[in-house]
Formats: sequence, C-alpha cells, structure tokens
Amino acid sequence: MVYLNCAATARDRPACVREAVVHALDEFGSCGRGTHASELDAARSIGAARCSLAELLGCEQTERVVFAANATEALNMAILGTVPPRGRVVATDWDHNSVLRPLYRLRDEQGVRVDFAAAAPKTGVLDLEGLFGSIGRGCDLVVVSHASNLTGNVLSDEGIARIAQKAHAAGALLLVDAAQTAGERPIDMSSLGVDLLAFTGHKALMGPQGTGGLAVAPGVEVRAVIRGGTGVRSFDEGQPEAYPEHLEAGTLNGHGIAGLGAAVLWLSKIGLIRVHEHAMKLTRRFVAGARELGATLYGDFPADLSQDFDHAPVVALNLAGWSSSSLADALARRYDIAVRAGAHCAPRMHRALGTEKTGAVRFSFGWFTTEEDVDCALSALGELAKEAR
Amino acid sequence: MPRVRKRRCVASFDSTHEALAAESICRAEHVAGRLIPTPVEIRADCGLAWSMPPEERGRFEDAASGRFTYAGLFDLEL
Repeated sequence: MVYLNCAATARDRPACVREAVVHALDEFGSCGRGTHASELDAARSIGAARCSLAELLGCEQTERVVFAANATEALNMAILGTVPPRGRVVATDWDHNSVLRPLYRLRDEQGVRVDFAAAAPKTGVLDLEGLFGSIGRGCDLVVVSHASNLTGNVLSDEGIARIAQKAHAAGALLLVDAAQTAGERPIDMSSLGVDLLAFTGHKALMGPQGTGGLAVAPGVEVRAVIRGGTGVRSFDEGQPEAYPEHLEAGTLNGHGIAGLGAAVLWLSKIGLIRVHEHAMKLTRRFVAGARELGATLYGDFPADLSQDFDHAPVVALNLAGWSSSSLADALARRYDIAVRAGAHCAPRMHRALGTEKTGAVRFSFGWFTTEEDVDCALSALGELAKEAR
Repeated sequence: MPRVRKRRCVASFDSTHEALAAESICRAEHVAGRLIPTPVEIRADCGLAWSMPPEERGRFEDAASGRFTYAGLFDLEL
C-alpha cells in the first residue's frame, strides 16, 4: 500500500515506538500512584517524555508540558480554561473544528465574541493584516493554526512572532494549534512568544494515537476544566495549582506516552530540520506532478517550485471529472493508496476556498513516505485523469 | 520480631514531576535515599517523598538549590 494520509495519523512509525509501548504494557504500574518499581518506572518514563517534548517545542518549564489525549483535548483545555464569559477571541479561517467547536460553544453559552481572520479563495492565504486589525483591547485570546490541515499553508516564524506581539500588546494570550507541525519542523514557542501550544502525538511526532498535550508558557494561567484525582494534595477540594497535575486529572495514558517519548527521542536524533527538508522535497515533487496533470490545487504554491517557499507536507486537490469522494475511493480500491476526501473538519477553510460543496482530496506525507510513493500516486492520478476525458 | 524504626529525613513535594526531578538529581549527586510513599504524618502534598538518612539533609539542600523545589523537610521516625 501507499499511505498518503499522514495529516490524519502516522501509519508508519520507528520500531522503538512499538517496543516502548509493549514494554510499558508488560511492565508499567500507574504513574504517581505508588512507589513500587513498576510505578516509578511509569512515572520516570512519563517524566522523560515530558522533558523531551519541552526541549523539542521550546517550552521553558518542563512541568508545563501537560499531556492530553490529543490536540483536540488540549485545545479545549486551553480555550475553555482562558476565555472568560463575555470575553473576546480572534481566530482564523484556517482553524479546525477542534478550535471552532469550543469557540462556538463559548459564543452560544457564554456570550463570547469570536472574530475570524479571512483566508483568500483558491490559495487560502491568511489575511494577516485583517488578523492584526481584529486584535484589540478587550481581546482575551488569539488562536491560530500553525498550518492549515487542508491546504498545508503555514504561518512563518516571523508571522507568529508578530501575532504574539499584537496579542500581548492587547493583553491577550496566543494559542497555536500545532497539530500539523509538531514533529514536522522545529518549533521554539519561547522565542516566538507563544503562550499556549497544542500538539498531537500521533501525526508527525509518530507516537501512538491517544497522545498529545498542551505546552504552557511560564506565568500563563489556565483554569483546570477537567478535575479529579492527581495523586497529589488529595485532601484539597480544588485542583492542585502545581503543574503538570493542575491540568492532568486522572490516570495518564502511560503506555501511549512511553511510545511518544521514544518517538520524540528518535526524531531528535534524526533532527527536525532534516525531517522538514524531506517533507518539502516530497511536497514539491507532488505539486509539480499534479500541476502537469491539470489538477486543481488549493494552497499557496509559487509558480516556480524551485524557488524557496515553506509549506506543510499537505496538498489538497480536485481532478476534473471526479468528485473528491469518488477519486479517493478509486485511489483506495484500485491502487491501494490511502488519502483523505471530504471536509477535513475544516468548514471555514473549505468555504473560503469555494470547496464547501465539492470537498477536496488531501494527500499528506511523512518521514516514512518515499519519492516512489509520491510517483505512484501521481501515476494513479494520471490514469484516473485520462478516464475522465 | 518487633519492627525497627529509624530516624529519616523526608522531603515532600508539590508534584510528581518535582519528586522525579529530585530523584534524578540526588542520584547524580550521590545523595543517599529513595522515593517512598509520602508518610501519613506529612498528610498533604504529593504521593511521592524522598527519604534519606538524617545526615544527608545538608547535601540534599545543596543539590536542590535552584534545580528542583521541595515543599518541606521533615525529621521522622519511620
């Protein structure tokens, strides 16, 4: 098979991830719930994963890397834990439903005002000046996606730093959804001025599903939405103030986090610059081939693909004569190629692109994707394009 | 045979993260001791505590300086 759905989840992982999960399943007790060797092993494994992630993401205080089940849970924690009733949030058309639905809930239930920065038709380029214009006094939170999960368009480091400056000048926090970028490229939340960064463990980080988290900058206060046992301060009625327990109620996914920790160490040895270069090479190759086939591409790609540009390894397209769902189905059934059709949990992005009714087919690449995989997909698309004529 | 109690110096922590950081640094600095369930006499704080011979107290405090935070130090007979 050819797996080109890495933006949904990593299918291929380093062997060390599986080994770490199996070891954890065989050996671990519960982190923070005892001092038997099995329990301390679990706690040390989770602590080591926390340290590795703090370093990878540029989170200044290790204990402020808080584990969650996925980026969605982390985004809910951040949004619901920082925006007050009748507060104000600025978000963007790039945002995934993991951001949009918590915001719509706050809008409907607590009178929170939500403004969106627009994305351009066809290219999906974000209107940064419009975003800056929306950030003003009274704004509590600015939420941006580091990369669109549909177009693969990415915010530059300079862009994020400018957004952070504007947000902080207005007294707002900046939350970055790094679901598509954590593990795919270097991120230094500290130098960029990011207050809250949500990540998932099972995409570019190549850990198991059911892992992810929220990195919180020093001094940033997040109210605990989920409350419960922590193994700490059991006689207190409130959630402990100390991190990470402040935001980690209940038994953690120690087995999954063991795998995530192994994946992060493995990626750190490879180096994220190398990972990103590989992703860009595949993206360039695929976009060039898809253009030759006459596919309609959605995203911000230069006319000359040899020039310097940045993109997440995500490309969405449609092919004349095919609906997005039929095309994805044909790729799966006839060529054993996995891609993602449909709306991609990105309704505002589809509306902006004008693909609300048609959807699009998303191809996404990871560290284990090869140039042969890309060529195989292009060859299949070429045959399917001919059938439509 | 009756249980023999020993004098121990016990450090408590506000979080499991800090207890693990203390363990790691104490091992590196060769501060004798180990993680134990937090004694009931301390009652609050984290479920993990660092138990050490009383004579290690000074070395523990030196090791902690600026590197990890503990909530309290208690002289107990365990």
